Amino acid sequence: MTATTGAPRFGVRAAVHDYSGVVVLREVDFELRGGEIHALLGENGSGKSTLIKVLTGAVRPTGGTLLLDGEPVHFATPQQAQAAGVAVVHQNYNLFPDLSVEKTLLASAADVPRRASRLGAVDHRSWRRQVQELLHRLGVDLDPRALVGALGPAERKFVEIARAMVTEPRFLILDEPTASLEPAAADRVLALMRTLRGHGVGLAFVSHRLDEVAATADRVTVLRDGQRVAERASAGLTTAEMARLMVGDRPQESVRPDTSTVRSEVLLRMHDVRCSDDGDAFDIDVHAGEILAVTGLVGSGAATFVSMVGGDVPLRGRAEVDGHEVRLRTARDAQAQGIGFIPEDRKARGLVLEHSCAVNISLASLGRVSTAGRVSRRRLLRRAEEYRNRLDIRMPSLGAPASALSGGNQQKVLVAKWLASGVRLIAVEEPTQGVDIGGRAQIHDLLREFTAAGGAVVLFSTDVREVLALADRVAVFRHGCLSRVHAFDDLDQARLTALTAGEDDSSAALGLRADGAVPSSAAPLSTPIPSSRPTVRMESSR
Amino acid sequence: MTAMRERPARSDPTGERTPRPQVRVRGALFDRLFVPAVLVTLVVYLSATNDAFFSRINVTNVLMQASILAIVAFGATFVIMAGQLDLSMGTGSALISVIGATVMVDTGSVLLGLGACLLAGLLLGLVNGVVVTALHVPSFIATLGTMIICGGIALAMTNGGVVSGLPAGFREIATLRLLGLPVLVWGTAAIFLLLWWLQRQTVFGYQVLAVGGNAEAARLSGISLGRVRLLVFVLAGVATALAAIALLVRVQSGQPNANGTLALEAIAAVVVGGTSLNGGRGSVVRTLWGVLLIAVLRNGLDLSGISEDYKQVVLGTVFILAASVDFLRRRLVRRRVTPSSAGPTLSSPGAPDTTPGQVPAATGTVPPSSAAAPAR
Ligand SMILES: Nc1ncnc2c1ncn2[C@@H]1O[C@H](COP(=O)(O)OP(=O)(O)OP(=O)(O)O)[C@@H](O)[C@H]1O
Ligand SMILES: [Mg+2]
Repeated sequence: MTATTGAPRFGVRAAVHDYSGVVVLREVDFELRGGEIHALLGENGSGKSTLIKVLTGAVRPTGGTLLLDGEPVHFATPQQAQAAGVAVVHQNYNLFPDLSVEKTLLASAADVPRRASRLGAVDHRSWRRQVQELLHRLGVDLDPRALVGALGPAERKFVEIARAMVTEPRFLILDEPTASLEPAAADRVLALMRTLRGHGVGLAFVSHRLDEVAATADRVTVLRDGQRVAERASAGLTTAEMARLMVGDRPQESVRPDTSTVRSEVLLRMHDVRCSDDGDAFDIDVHAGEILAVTGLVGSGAATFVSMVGGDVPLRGRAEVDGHEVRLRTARDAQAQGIGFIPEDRKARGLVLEHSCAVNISLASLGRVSTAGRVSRRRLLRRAEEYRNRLDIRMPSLGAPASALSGGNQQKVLVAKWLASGVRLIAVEEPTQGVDIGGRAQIHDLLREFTAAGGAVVLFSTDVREVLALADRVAVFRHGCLSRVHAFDDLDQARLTALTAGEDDSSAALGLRADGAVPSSAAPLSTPIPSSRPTVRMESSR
Repeated sequence: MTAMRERPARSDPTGERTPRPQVRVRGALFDRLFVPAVLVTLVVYLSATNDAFFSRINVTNVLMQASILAIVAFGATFVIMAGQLDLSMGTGSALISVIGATVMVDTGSVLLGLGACLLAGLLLGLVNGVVVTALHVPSFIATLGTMIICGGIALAMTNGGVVSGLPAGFREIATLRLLGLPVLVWGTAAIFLLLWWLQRQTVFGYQVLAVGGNAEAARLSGISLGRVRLLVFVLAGVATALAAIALLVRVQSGQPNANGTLALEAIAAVVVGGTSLNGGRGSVVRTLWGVLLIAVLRNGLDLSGISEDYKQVVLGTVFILAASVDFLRRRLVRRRVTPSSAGPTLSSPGAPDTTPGQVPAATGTVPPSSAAAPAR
């Protein structure tokens, strides 16, 4: 590994790139130095991932010169970039769940013959030793024989990083390495990045979480509309200033309204729900106009609960909608009851990537743009246009495939899909994962608008600030079971962080039930209900 | 561009915005016209080099030959768009032709015979569909099984001989002509129009593409995967029955040994047309072009008098070439998109462009299903 001194540098001068004529990079300069962590900031669709692809040989840019230690270089393929010492960790998992850690790393080691082969065959023992050494150097505690599919999200990110580090690159570029991780896991990944910096590696990374950028990065480069608008040391740069650089003077946080929109009417009432085999059964109600946040550690049952509400996995327990007992076994059942589900993994489970944005927006409600089974393309497009404007979705055109959208805009398409479908309850996992601050505020506003009109949201989020911005009540899960339901008024950031992290806290909790079988009728509604609130017709059912 | 882009005021999310420029996607048109262009070129070449090609007899002949393949391929298009395969359509149609012929011969009723064909097709489709959706057998295996079973039953029913002696009324149907073209051709055209409508205009058509494009996303959008897949196989079964009827019309007898490779040829025609074998994008219009291309090519080879053996070699080569066209098309489009740029560029010719995590079409082209609706 190269020492920090001697100023290794890698970057691009005047990078230009367009996709089918749409210019997404305009003469961007970027420079990464050895031994620094360089954050790449910008709104969704500002060109960050594209710049990374240009830097790592994944796309051929329209123009610009790559410079490695001052010398022009050409990367026609990612392999060439790797050979030159530039490695990349892409935004989503590209791992094979059935491979072990060591095999995964082996697959990316182009120079296995030199390093771990005997008579042309892989010498597994020697390879395992090398992998152990590498993991040790990275300070990662992982068994080389463990199957990737069995690892947690943070560990998988470690494997991806280790895989990139197999070739001992001098520069490592990470696209949103923490976006899909909960805070604790994200911290571990950031710590690993610092370790690598200590080894003299130059790291560039993308993140929409500005506080982690402020805490980790040495320098930041800010892109806006495909142009570099700033490059500066991050020392003394506040998150507010970063945000201003990214988006200008627009308001960035959506404001939590003072008045609650929760109504007394119960939309979904659930009895005897079990989130795991050994967890206790519990009851819980979701009210019209309410955002119920669900939180808990990995394996606490919180995520399972939300997928059960959304029909992703069959409900274990009973459910009543509007007072009638209903079946909730499939996503289809859920939809029939007016419940939509936004999964966390938008690419694999949310979008039909090669289909147009317009079709994706109407996918859950084709019936609403058709008469007697016949789809009206005019209505389909009109609706897509409407939601594109309402949610400010940046897309090349309504007919462009969803794969051509930046991550944040893909997320908005998913939200639009359910808003357009006229459901009354949306179960959503991590609604603003990978979404920029402006888009985040917009999505928050949209969810609030949805509940103000009488809809309900069951929100799973590991982002404490998101929960604080949205939740009317917070249901905390522990050990596969609902532990407490807290009213928002009783929470602050510190409390919530502690609760999310699994710390016990019984004071001031408005417990639905701490133990034993409390009948659901006895479950107190823990949010104050405004007495006189006009019943607004559901806006989304237009 | 240093000016800030503006977003609509947040308090007015439905507020008017200036319309964004609609970017015409350069790749789409090229992509759509590729196979038709090849077909036209071939037709022009053949008519220039061979007087017999554009004779009325020959044109009728080409269309007649194409019709059975077309009917099967149209059905197969739906199956493939949904991300499945149906191998049973070939021997299935042979079996159904035997069943239809037997019923007609035994009862003397054309209607009963046609009814028996449709019923048998429906049943075949249901069996395939149920095995795939309820027993979760991969469609390749499931339909390979029914393909073998159908072939066996057809031989067992006939001891390998043909079933002839169809009622005279049926023979008359076969010789009917409308505007100079046989009914068979008109029937095929009608099936095409019906399926085109089904694919382009109906909720079912959209659902088929969604299920093939991303089954998980379709499921979570409340689309029943089982129902869509079952219906797709039933549709293929009916198409198989119609192909069997077409066979009866053409050869006037039940043929247990016919159409052994028809299902595979149909799949080839679908892929040649440009429908993705991975599911999720495609169209019966594309399949129509694919079928015509294969039929004209075959006819051209017939006219040129090449021996049967070499004909096979040429056809096989064309299938392989056509299947790689999808990839080549994208390459071509990308070349065109990467324009001359000032200063040194990073690009070197012939660079592979995908990383494992990327969508293959990440640059340049927009997949065929991009025109706002999944199909054109
Ligand atoms: N394959 C593609 N075809 C056409 N346009 C594309 C393609 N990929 C990206 N784009 C467009 O290029 C622009 C920049 O996208 P990019 O993915 O670089 O954004 P980003 O800054 O990484 O955003 P995010 O924070 O949402 O990940 C976007 O407007 C996007 O719509
Ligand atoms: Mg990105």
